[in-house]
Amino acid sequence: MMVKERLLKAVELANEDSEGKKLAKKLGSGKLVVKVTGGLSVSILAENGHLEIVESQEHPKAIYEFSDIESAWALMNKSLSPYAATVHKKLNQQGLSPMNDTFEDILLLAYDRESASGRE
Amino acid sequence: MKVYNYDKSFELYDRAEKVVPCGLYGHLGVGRARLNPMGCYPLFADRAEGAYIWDVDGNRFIDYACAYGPNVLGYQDPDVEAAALAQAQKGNCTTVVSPVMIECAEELVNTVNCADWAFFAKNGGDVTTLAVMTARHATGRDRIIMMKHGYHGVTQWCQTPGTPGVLDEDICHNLYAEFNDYEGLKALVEKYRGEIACIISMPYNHISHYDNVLPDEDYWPKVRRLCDEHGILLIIDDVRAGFRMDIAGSDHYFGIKADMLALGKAIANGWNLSALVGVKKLKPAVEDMNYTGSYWLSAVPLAASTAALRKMKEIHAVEKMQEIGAELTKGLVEVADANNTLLKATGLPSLFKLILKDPDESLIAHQKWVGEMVRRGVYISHFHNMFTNTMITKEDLQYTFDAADEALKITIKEHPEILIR
Repeated sequence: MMVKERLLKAVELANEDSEGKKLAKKLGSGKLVVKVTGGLSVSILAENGHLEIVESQEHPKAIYEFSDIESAWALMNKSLSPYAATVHKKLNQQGLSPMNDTFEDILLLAYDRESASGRE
Repeated sequence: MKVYNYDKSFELYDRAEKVVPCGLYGHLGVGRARLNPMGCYPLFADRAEGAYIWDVDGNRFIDYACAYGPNVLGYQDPDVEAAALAQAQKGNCTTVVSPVMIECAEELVNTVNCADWAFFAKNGGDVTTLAVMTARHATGRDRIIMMKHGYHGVTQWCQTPGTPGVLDEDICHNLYAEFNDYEGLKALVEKYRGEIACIISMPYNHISHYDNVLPDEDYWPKVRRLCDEHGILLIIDDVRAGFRMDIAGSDHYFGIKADMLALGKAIANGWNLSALVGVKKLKPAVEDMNYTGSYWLSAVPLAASTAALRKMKEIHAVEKMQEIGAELTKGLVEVADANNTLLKATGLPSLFKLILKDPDESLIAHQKWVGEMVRRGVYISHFHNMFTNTMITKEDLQYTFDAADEALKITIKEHPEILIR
């Protein structure tokens, strides 16, 4: 649940936060599927810098997949490096790299915003 | 075909991760899915020679990445290495500059059409940055026009909004145009009349992840005239394409003369050197720049570059690379066609872009295909332009076609959606 909440927060930031909107403009258009292998899956449609959660997982342009829920949470909270995670196959990115890269930046922005609001 | 393992590569990564950010960073690194599918690419090399690299597990690759551009004459070219070694025995990075600097500058001035002078540095970004600074100083104007998705290095001024560590203030004078859209460019120039210092662009749109776009035949001549009419300097970023389209410069290939040309990569066949060259009228402006680096006039890369430039001319390297690239891309497209799939080869043959097409334009199947080729000893990047060098043989090409065919059959089983008939 926490992982999904963070994903939804990321989508919200992309649409409403000033830094998030800059990043959203770089996403390009199309569908990104963010998932945990064998588990949670969220389909995000990007169009003209706006993100929307959609039902269908078909025809993605990019797939951002965590190997398990623990790795997902660790990555989202910056306690696991996306680079090491990639090498050790805890994170698998397929498809349009600019879309995956930018979404990762938005996901990490969500962590930064949450950390900042926790300190206030 | 044998499929490679990379046990030692991954052991080394575990060590690297402890002491190097990312473990392996940048365009050669593991970030941004550059080496995905993970497990298909080697992470560390042991040695290189000619058209090949060998990784730390002893696997040999026909290397079409060519170090992402620098390898034109083959790794360890004997003439370039002899020149480098001869100079190394005398000295490299020293307090007083070697005359090899003059020889290299003279060679560039005699070779590159728009070059009346040469300013040396290390990386392409050093000289694209100098070019933009020079343009601003020479014109007294702030704004610059870049092409959307263009790549000119990693300094702040040429990064995109939202990039970590890049401020809005760093890029607030940047304007962006679509490559090959002359009317759009002209409208932008007229909107900001008198404010634009330069237009900086690659000679054609050889950007990562997407098909390359060559300019319309009259695009560059019209852009040249537009710049002349508005007092705008034209900078061609030839760091990647330089010495692969035309030995006299990629601007020369398209029938124009740039005001400045940024060169790197192939300039010294892998020795670390870049150069900004330009027209006579800009020499005073460059002379005013406070711009330097500890290693920029190191003698060994300069000596290597002189040797590389002379050899490229002697053996007609550009023509050779184009011929090899044409045969390579034709053969790969035929392999794809024989397997009922669509492979697009775009750009020029000596720095071509390959994309195996899928209906969603996701590159997922393309990445799988490329990964399977790499595991069989054909090193190609799934996201970047690939290159040829003069040492690639007919046998290498045939091996490549065989690997492509085997890799494609495996890919089709996982991704039948790429079948076109």
